[in-house]
Amino acid sequence: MLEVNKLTKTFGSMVAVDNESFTVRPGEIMGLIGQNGAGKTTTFRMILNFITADQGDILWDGHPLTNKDYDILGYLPEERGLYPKMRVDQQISYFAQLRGMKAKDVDAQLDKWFDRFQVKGKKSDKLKDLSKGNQQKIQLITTLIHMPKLIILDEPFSGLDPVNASLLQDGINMMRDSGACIIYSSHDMANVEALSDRLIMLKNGKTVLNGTVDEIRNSYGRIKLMIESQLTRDELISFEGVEKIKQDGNRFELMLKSPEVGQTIFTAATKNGYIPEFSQQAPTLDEIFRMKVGERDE
Amino acid sequence: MNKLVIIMKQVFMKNVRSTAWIILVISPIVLLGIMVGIGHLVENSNNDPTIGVVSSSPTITKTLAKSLPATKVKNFKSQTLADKALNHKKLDAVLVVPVQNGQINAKLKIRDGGKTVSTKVIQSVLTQLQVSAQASKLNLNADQVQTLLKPAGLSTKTVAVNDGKSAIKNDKTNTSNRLIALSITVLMLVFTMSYGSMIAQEIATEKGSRIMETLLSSVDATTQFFGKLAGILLLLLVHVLLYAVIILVGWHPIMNLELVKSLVQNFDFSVLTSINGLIFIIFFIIAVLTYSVLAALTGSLVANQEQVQQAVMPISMLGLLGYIFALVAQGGDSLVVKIASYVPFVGPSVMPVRLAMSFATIGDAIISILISVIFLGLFTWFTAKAYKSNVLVYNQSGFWKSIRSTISIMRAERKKL
Repeated sequence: MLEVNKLTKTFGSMVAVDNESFTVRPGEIMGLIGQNGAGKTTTFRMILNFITADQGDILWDGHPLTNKDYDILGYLPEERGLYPKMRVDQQISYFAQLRGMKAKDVDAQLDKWFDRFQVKGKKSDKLKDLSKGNQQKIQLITTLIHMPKLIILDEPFSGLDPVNASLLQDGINMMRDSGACIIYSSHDMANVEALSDRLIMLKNGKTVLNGTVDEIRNSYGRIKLMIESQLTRDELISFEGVEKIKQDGNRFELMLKSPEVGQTIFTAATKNGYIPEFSQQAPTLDEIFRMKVGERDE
Repeated sequence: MNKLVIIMKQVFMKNVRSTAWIILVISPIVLLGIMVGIGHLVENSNNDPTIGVVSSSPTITKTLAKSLPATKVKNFKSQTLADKALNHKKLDAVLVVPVQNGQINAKLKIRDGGKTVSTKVIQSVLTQLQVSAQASKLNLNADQVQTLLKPAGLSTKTVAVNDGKSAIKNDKTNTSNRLIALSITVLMLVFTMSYGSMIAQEIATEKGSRIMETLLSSVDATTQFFGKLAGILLLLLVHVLLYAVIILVGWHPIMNLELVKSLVQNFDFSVLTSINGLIFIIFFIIAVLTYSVLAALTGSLVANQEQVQQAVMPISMLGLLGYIFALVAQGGDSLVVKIASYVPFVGPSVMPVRLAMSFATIGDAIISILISVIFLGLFTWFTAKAYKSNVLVYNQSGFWKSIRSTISIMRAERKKL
């Protein structure tokens, strides 16, 4: 289990991470979201011991991560890098050996991993001769082949086409089922929603969201309303508690101050009977993300 | 397997197969091979000139044929016949030797483009002939002629003055020393440069391509640093051993070549097995180690692949500085040279030269070694620390600014510990 307690890191006058706390249990996937510069990579680098936190601590199974824990780590950096002129199998073997694997065990498992990620290319190819997508897969294999217990993936979906993205999702789920703690960062909210058990949103180093996907969505309540009725735009805006309105033909999308406002609108819209659409939902993660980004800092 | 060993092995295997290293190892061998080949060709090809001699006295022709080394001598009855042969390129020169009153006034006609004819040798043989002719005219016996011809004696001694005492050196050691000094200077430059830039590139490329982050999450920076150094030094060891084997195997065939013989005839090989030889080796090792650590430091400072050349620059600058000082030291001892021979980076290439030229004593050399070793220890310690902060700093604005940010990070990290 990974516990991050009240982590703070400043660079000069800039606060990169401010009082961040979270826990990742074995078999749990945590998504870290936020804009560029929100503090995601800094968080990862503190967990990896690349930089020291100003305050707070990071515990792995109750003790601070040390050099002895390198072998249980799997890390995919945001900017990918492998040896272009080195053979793919030698490359994977080198990184796996640095994680404590034996060379012959790597050889024995390589085919399985090539199948799992559907790598197109020979094991004896030089890395630079593979396509970019396949190079990414090789990097993923180097990250996962030693079956790490703590996996940190910095923007793993960037640059992947939908087919490869779903291969990666399968891979991550497989690691979760093996009992690993997984943290990853992403810009793509669709992936985050499908994959994450829990998520954290950072904004300028501050944690603005923290919980399971359902918890976060439900904390907003059903404040999104899709409606198609006799009511005009002006009529809809005049209801108290309507914060935003978007028109698409006869259809309107409203953001409500609270779920209760929906009831008033429903009554008014159905006073003449049938209406084609009335759907009140919690906002999607993507919408929450946009709302949070747009909010001013307190 | 120990992670340091894994890194060492990988660095070694990667570079041992690289074209750059293979060229580095092979080029001197190829060069030597070409030299030896040319030597062989020169020795085996026929370069002996043919001279036509026109003389009334058969004794003169006979003596010339006997005394002129590597020269074919043909007797001609008349100058016309000899000139004809010359015009047909059958002769390289025609020597006409008329004798009048025991006085020789010879004329030599050399064909342009023919094989080289040594006029000096011909003249000395003719002089001898004239002397013996004159001697017999004056009724001198052989002993008297000998006494007459004996040159005045002059013996040469070279002394090296150290602390008011002078020590006699023989000329052979002097030449040997110069040769050794020159070889040390060049060897140090070549090895520190090539291996220094190899390390700098190795590290800079990994950092520039962001492989470094993956590596650092598997193994701590210090282990990685020493693993890389060990890998490159292993490569150097293989390089030196390879040459040692080649020299051992090829020693006799090479030394028997006339060309090599003429090069090393003044060379006293005992210098190599003396205490000086050991000190030279120690300095060589220190120099390579110090430059390797410097290379690792500068290599870890770059932000991208384009800055790799900048990382190599400080190594070349210091290396050249040492080279220049070493060249100056071969010319003579001065205060600047003296000081330089104790300064780290430069000292290991200057002190061996001073030692070889007898400007410095073994005691001086040991002091310089101590200074260099202590410096190397501290420098390695500092670099290993800096390396950890360096490899994660990506300062696009330049190489020198990276040094500043590294130092500030090191300070910040130390405060926390």
